[in-house]
Amino acid sequence: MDVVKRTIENMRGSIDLSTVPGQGTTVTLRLPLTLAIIEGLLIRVGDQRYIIPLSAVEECVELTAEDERSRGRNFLNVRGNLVPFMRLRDVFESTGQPDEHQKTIIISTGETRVGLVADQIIGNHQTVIKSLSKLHSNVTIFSGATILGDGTAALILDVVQLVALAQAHAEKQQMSEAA
Amino acid sequence: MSKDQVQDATGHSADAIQVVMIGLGDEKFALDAGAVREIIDPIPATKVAGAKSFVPGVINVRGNVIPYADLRIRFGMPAAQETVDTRIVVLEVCIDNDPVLVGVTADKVFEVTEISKVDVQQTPRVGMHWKPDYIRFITKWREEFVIVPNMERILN
Repeated sequence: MDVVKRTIENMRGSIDLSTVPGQGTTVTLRLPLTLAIIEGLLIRVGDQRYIIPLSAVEECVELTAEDERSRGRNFLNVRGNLVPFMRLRDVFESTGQPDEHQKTIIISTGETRVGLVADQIIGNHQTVIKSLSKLHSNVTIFSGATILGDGTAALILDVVQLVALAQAHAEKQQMSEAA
Repeated sequence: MSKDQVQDATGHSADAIQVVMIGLGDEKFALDAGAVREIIDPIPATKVAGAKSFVPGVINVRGNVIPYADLRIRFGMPAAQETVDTRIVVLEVCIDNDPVLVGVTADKVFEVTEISKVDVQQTPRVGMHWKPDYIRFITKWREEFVIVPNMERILN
């Protein structure tokens, strides 16, 4: 099963398991339609631009002042549902002043929904995927890069890995707090 | 480029290797000319969060997204401002038996020249604050010592 999971994640897909005792297990494999071109959402965080695969995006909402205020509870109320969020500025260690109106892109990775907070949502972008070289093989949160209209390279987010990283980070923090 | 090709092209002895001489900080480095793909003007790099400090970003070179390496960090040199002489040297380096293109910064690119292998000096074990692994050999060029770096080791 681990081999299957790794192969599917290499192809930018995801795998989900749900079990009902006594009835059986459902295995859901999600794979992108093509491997070369994806529909992406172009966002800006700090002075850098990034692509989120559109297949993972559910909706975009503005981060309200109330959500912004509290640093301790990083979750949103989306029509009565609790959605945790993470600030991409913190993940990417962006410098400079954050924009006044922060935007949240709600993504779904399998069963979980997570908000990603960005400075600006630029729009839809047809993305040709170029893989990252071996020198960046330790970077898991980006699945590749693409070239934008002005010739600069933009990185494509691997949302599954990004959420996994955030979870690992939060767990580590809790562990150190407990100790 | 193999040694034979160098010999054919220049008509010089097999002891000489063709190199591109670059300046970085106060030092001169000689990069094997056969590994150099092109030399370009500085272009804005895209920062890669979580990458190793010596490969901080990627750049777009003719439609290829290639990593961008800063040798200063590997050689413990302070960061410097970009000047009119700053260039990016695009090299082909073998990593895990696969050729990988990588752009490295140079404060200045001097010239393509030949260095003789006869003048190769033993890399000293003392008086060096660099890892001996990073240096292939040190040789003399016009009464100056130049360093031939081992790019494979530096980037791995």
